[in-house]
Amino acid sequence: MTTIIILLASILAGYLLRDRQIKLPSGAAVSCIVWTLLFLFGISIGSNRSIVAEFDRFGLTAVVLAALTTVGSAAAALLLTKLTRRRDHER
Amino acid sequence: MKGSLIVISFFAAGIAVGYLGIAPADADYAAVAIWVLYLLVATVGFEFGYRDLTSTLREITAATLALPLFTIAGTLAAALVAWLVIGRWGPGDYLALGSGMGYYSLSSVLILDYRKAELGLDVAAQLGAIALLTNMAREMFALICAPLYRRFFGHYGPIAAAGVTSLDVALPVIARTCGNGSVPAAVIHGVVLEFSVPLLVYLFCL
Repeated sequence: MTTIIILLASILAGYLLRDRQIKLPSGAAVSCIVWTLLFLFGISIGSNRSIVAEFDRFGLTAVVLAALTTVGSAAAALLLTKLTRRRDHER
Repeated sequence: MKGSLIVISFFAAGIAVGYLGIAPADADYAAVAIWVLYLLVATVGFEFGYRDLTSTLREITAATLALPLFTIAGTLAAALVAWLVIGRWGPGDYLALGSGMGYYSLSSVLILDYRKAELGLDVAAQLGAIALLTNMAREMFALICAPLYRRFFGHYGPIAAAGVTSLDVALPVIARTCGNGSVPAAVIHGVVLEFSVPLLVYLFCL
């Protein structure tokens, strides 16, 4: 919940300030935040013995779930293509 | 591609550090991670509101709005199939995992945060780890197999497959396989999904 509120609030803030000259964080800065996030998350996982013990089982679950969801969404997209007019998506 | 590999390296480095006990043991890393997440979300949100909101709104059509809904429906249906096939966790868990839509940094930490009260930190962290791996894999599949998705699932296939990443990481690949005209649809698709991720994950973690 907090995350959604922060997201909406920050979008609103950005929008309200859109005519001001503000220097946005560079792509590199955002990448650093993501790296930090993943690093910290990695630490919390690596220090967790129960996870490390079961890692091989996770991997399989993750790959199967990823494969199924990607195909599932692509199939739904195909359905949408059938339902919409050609000029919406033909190039 | 390279960006994703760097991210994975940081994640792997973190795991190594945690595993080897190098970092101070009594810091609550999951909690700090959540604060960094808030920072990330605020930054991304602000940038979008500041730079992209107006132009994105202008490009909306019925089809481009429908696409993310179809992606979500297809993903959730597939997540339930995964539950039936794999088992081990509940259907809500699979739905939450699938709801990540490729947004691995957000969904993994959210699932950890939302589920730790009910499941305890250990199991919640397990789910968070799976969320991370699943959504990373989704991004990889979208990048690598885009031409296949285009061939078998039509013009919107690669966009839907990419999930949230249709907005940034997968956008070049999508533009290459579906043409430059697909860019607005891909961006709107990614934006709508980016909103839906925290919402859906929260919903399925209740």
